[in-house]
Amino acid sequence: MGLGREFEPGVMTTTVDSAVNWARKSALWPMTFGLACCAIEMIATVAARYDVDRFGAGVFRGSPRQSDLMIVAGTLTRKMAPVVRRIYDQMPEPRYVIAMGSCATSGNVYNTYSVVQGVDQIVPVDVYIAGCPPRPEALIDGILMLQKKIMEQKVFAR
Amino acid sequence: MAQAIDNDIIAKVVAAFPQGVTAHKVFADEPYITVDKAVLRDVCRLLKDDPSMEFDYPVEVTAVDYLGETPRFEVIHVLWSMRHRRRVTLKTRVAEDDCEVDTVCDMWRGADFMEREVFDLYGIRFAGHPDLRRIMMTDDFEGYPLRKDYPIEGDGWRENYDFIPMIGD
Repeated sequence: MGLGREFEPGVMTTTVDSAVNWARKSALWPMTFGLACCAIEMIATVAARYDVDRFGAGVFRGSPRQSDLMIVAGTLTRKMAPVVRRIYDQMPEPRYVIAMGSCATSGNVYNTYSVVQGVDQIVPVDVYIAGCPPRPEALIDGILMLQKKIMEQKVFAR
Repeated sequence: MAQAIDNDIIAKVVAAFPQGVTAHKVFADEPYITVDKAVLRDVCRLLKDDPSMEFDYPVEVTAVDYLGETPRFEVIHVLWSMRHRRRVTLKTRVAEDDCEVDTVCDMWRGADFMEREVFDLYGIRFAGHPDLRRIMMTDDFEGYPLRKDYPIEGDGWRENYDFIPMIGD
C-alpha cells in the first residue's frame, strides 16, 4: 500500500494516490439494492456470520446519493433497466458497480424478450461475480477484488 | 364420494346450459367444464350463486395459445368454493379474429388483475372490464409476449436502451 515506517515513530511516508485510494477502498458504502434471489445472499453477506463490515463495505445506504458501490444482485428486466440506470446516475463519483450472479453478468438462462442480457449493457461494471446465486464468500471475494482495483487507480494523474 | 360431488357439479351445469356446455370431464377428482363463450358469464353466475356449489374464490384466470388450432385461444377460469372445499375448472375457446371474452370482474373482484394479465400477455380482451390496460409490460410495449408466435428474444425491445444518457446531453 506504500505506507512505510522508515522514519521516527509517528511519521510515515506515502503517496497522495495511495492515501486517497486507501480511504476509498476502506469505506465502500454499498446501496441497499436487490433485484432477485441474489439479494438474499447479499443480506447473508452483511449479517453476523459473514460480516462484510470487516472489509469496510457493510454500511448499506438507502439512497444512491450516499453510496459508492452498486451491487446489482439479481435478474435485470428491461422494465427495471431505466430505474437501475437512473440510480447509477444519481450516485456521486467515484462510483463502482458489481454485477453479482449469472443474471446480472449475462442474463443467465433467461434469454427471453424481457430480460436484459447483462447489466454491462446499461452501466459500466467493475467486477463480475459468477454463481447462481454466488455464496457470500464469492461476494466478499468480489469486494476484495474491487478494493484491489481501487488501490491501483491513479487519482491525480491526467 | 368426491367423484359423486364432481359429477353433481357437472350435472347441474349441463342441466342449466344443455347447449352451452361443449365438453366436460372429471380428472384427478376435479371437474373440468368447457363452455361456450356466450354463456360463460351465466355459468359463472350459477356456480357462484347456487348454494350447493357457491364458488366464491377465483383461483386463477389464465389462457393457453393453441397455435394452429381454431379457435386459437382458450381462457381458463379456476374457481374454488371455500364452504364446500371444491375446485372447478372452466374452459372457454376464443377465436383469434374475435379475441374477446366477457369479464367476470363484477362477480369476483379478484379476477381484475388476472384478466389484465391475460390481456397484457395474450391480447385477449375482456368485455366489460373496468380498467383493461397492461399490468406486466410497460404501456408503450407492442405485441403479446406469451403468444406462441412471439419471438423468444422479442422484437428488439430488450436491447433498446433509449434511456442511457449520451455524451453531450
